[in-house]
Amino acid sequence: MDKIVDETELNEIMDNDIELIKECFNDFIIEYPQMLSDIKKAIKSQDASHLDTSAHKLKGSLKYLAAKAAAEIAYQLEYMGKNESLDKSQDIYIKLEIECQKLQAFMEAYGA
Amino acid sequence: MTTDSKGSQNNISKIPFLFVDDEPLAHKVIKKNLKDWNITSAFSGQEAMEILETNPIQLVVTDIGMPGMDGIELLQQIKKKNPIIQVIIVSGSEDIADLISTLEAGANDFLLKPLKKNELEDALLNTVSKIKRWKKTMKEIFINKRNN
Repeated sequence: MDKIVDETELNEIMDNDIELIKECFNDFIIEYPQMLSDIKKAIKSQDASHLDTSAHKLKGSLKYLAAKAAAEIAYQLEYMGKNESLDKSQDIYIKLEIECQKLQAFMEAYGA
Repeated sequence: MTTDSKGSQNNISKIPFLFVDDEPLAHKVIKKNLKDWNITSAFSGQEAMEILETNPIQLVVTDIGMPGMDGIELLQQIKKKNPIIQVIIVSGSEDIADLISTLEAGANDFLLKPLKKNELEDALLNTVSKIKRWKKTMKEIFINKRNN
């Protein structure tokens, strides 16, 4: 099971810049609810193309934050969108929402 | 690294490059991590092509997965416009076939996402060093031809 954030990788990506990490965490806390909302809308309207692009966008942010578990779940949704196979997308979305909440708690504890 | 190579690294750092990614966080991290580099930002393939039309940039670092014109299409358009421009592809895929495809499409190098400072800087320095060597060789050929 992946950690919420792989701190070793995070420090490598951010070149050990604590201020940059906090700034990126803050940005993410502000922006991720809208990204989740876009994914939710795509699933509700069964719009595979929109699911692909919206999940891809969130995955991109999560990868830069070394949030591997959440990035993997976002990738599953992106893959479903790409392959127009949305059957289990709602269940996966709920997992993603939970993982993002854990991530937010982690970021707030970090000082973001 | 020796003092000499550090000196040349500082000179190389002044060459501008275009960074293309639809992810704003990627731009923020790259600009903070590579403070001594001259970085121009584009958030789409289309915007990148517009910048290259009016700016003499010889090095591009681009993400593959972007909405609209993706990184591979951008790479192909750049190579069609000016094959001398060096393109480093950034991919989120760890599939070897995908990475080989980028080289087949004309990429000069590839890196995996998320970008790490040392890996990106190594790739940039190698590429800029290659561009400088080519320019020097071309200049020598030009001078030789003119003198003969």
